[in-house]
Amino acid sequence: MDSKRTWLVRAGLLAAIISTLLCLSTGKVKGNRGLPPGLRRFAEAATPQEGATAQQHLGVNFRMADASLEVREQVDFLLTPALLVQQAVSDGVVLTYPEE
Amino acid sequence: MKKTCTGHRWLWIALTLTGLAATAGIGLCQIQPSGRNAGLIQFDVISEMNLDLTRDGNLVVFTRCWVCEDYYAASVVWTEPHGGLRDMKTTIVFSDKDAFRMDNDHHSSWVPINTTYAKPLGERPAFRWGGGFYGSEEMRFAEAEALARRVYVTDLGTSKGLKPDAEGVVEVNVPKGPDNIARRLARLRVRARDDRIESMELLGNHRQSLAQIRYEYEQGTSPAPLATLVAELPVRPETLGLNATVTLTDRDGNQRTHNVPDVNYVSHKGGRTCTVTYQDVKAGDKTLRLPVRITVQRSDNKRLVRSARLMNFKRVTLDKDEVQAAARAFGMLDGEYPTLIRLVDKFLEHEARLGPPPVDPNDLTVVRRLIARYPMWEQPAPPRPSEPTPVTRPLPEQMETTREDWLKQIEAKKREQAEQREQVQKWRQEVAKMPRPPRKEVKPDDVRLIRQLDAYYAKRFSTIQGTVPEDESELWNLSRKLPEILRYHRVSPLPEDQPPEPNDLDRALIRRLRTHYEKCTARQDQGLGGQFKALDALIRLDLIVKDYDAYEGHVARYLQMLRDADLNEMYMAGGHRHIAKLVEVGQYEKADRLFRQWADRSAAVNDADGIFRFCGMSLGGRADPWAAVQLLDRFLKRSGLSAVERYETLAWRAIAFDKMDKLLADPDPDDESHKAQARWMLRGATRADIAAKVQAAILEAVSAWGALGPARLSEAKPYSTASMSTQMRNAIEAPDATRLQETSAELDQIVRQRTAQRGAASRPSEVKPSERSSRQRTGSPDKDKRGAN
Repeated sequence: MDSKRTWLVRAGLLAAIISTLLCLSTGKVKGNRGLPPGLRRFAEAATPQEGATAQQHLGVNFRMADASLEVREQVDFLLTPALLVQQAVSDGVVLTYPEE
Repeated sequence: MKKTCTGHRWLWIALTLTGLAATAGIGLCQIQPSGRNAGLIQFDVISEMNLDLTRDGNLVVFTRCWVCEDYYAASVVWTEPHGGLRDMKTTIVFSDKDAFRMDNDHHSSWVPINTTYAKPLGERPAFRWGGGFYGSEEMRFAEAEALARRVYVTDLGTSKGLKPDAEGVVEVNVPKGPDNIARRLARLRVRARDDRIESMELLGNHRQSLAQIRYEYEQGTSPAPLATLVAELPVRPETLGLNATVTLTDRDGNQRTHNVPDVNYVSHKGGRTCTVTYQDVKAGDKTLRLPVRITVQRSDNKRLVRSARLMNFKRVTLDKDEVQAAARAFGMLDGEYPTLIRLVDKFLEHEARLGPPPVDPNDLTVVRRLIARYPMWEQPAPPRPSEPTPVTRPLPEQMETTREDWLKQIEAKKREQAEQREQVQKWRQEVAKMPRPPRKEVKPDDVRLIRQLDAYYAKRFSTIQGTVPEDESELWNLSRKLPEILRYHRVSPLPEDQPPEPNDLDRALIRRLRTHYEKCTARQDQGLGGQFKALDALIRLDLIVKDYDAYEGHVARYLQMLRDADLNEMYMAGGHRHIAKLVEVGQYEKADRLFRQWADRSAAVNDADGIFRFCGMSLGGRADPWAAVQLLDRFLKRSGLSAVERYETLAWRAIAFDKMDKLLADPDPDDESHKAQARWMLRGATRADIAAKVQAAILEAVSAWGALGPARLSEAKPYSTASMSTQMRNAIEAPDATRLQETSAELDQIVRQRTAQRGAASRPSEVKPSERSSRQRTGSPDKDKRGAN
């Protein structure tokens, strides 16, 4: 009998925890409804610092960075032929592709 | 007994083979004969690179390399096209185990090169470049990164005794590198068969894949030598340096500074597939198996990003100092080059020297009187935005309770912004209807004075940091009106704007340089790059003396050299640049002759990707829509175009026709090159012809889009991220639009503009039935994009 009561209490406790979690998650879904992902990070920031960081990151022009990353790849490629030939004329090196 | 003996023998053979396989290294990849015995190798490289994001198109770099096991040198002799910011700025690199050295006398004044970086070079810093700029001094980190993941034969030694998994893969931990080189490589997953590696995956410290390499061998010979190495490089994480600080104020009014951390981003978007082709090459008395071609494609769309051809291999006997000297001698500018640059500055890039203003620039009366002579229309201030309602971000502890309120505030702000947009729209319409003062011809003396004063004020106010002091503010406001006068009214060039005519001394110098560079075009020791460098000098000298016959001859030679070298994209981009110069100076017949040959060949030998790249180039098809149309018309006649390629061709053609039509309808009166281009176009077609063809071209493109089926709402969907604001892109985390999607979006805009113009220009009763039906047929490519993802 005692063990059965214990089981019932545990089951009740578990149900309460699940309900709380469900309510919390429902609230969260409702709260973020309609917010695009970039803004959501700002909305969900736990601290003012995180919020400020999310806000700053929203203003980063990734297209400008992409243009320079493209140029970097091409400029660094200048070394690739020399590095490939160096692998081939070196003892003890297995041929791979260098990084550019 | 006999059986046991055979068993021992087999065990011994197996152990020997395992030992050999584990330690053979290069032998595993069948690259013999090579290794240290190869000595010092000299070779030439022609690299082709595509710069799509900066719309610079195709770039060709000519380099000579000297390589041995212990050091290497790379010397760039020429970059085609030359000029602007597109040259490969670093001319000479020399690297050994002690240092990485960079030299370039030509650019030493403005980039931190001519420097020796001691090794170890350290870690690459967070990426802080943008807008297509990149300091080539950071190239040293590419070498450091390549060495940090180099695989040594000894790394495979640890695989001894390991059992392969079900897929035949052995996984080994990588020990420290020789000389304690910092390594990014932590593990290797190797699949080997018949004493050779078939594939290998390089893994980093967090088991992340650095590269997957596949080895393919020649068929039919034994031992089969390596034919190709295919490396799949994944998208990789990249840290962007933000360097931002913000001040935060809490509820009690206390302020704290917060350093915003760098941004986690990625590079190598779409992944890279790098293919290296190996062949036997004769170098002196030896036959070596060496890389002869490298191609790098985006893995997701297979588009070619860059390639290199390695050629003219030679074994040379030079010591380290002699290699450095040879690299410098090869890449540095010759003794006549400073004279050439002086002449180019004086005659081709001439800038008028107007001197100081002849009036007192502090005399406000004089400046006001000058401005009053040329009344300008002043645009009324746009409607002042209402005081923005602050959106208070919920505090963490109130996050759940105030979230709803916060979202309501955001909604209210959106409504506020929509109202403001409407007000601005209304203001624009009113502004468009306002009368403007007539445009006048500005007297040459006034043009001179305005330019002199403008130069004086630009210098004077450039020293002021921040706000202009109160006592200078009136002068500052007046000074800003001066360049406006030149933009609003009609202005003719001053006599000082005309470059001087070469005098006898100049002509003697030009003759000397022509003889010198003519000889250089035949010099073999400078390689193909050196010959292009000399030809470029001759072409510029032709322009200085306005010898357009010689110019035409040299451009024809330039095109032939590109043709012989299979540099087809540069044939298109570089050839067009020179033909456009002939158009600019009004040499239409010469331009026509070269143009026909150029358009036929460019359309015949380039693939769709190259053609569309040219059409999107700032200095290619975008600047010269007539050339783009001629090229695309020829390209359309080629057989075997896919439906998507055909649509993209028609879309670019419609965009170019629209540009042509706008250029002819509203030419910029101050832009001489536009005027020359318009005159050239009108030699081949009338204004009415072109106007009539625009509508047909747009209809054809839209109809090809409609015929694409599901692709019109996926790969050809009108979608642009180039036109989105940064904040919008980041807020919705918009995926990058492809070139085809951007093209569809551009076409869609044209259809919308033209539909709106027609609607505004004609009442419904004025629309002819035929036009009405064609309008119904046209539709916008964007019409049914909603709902498509």
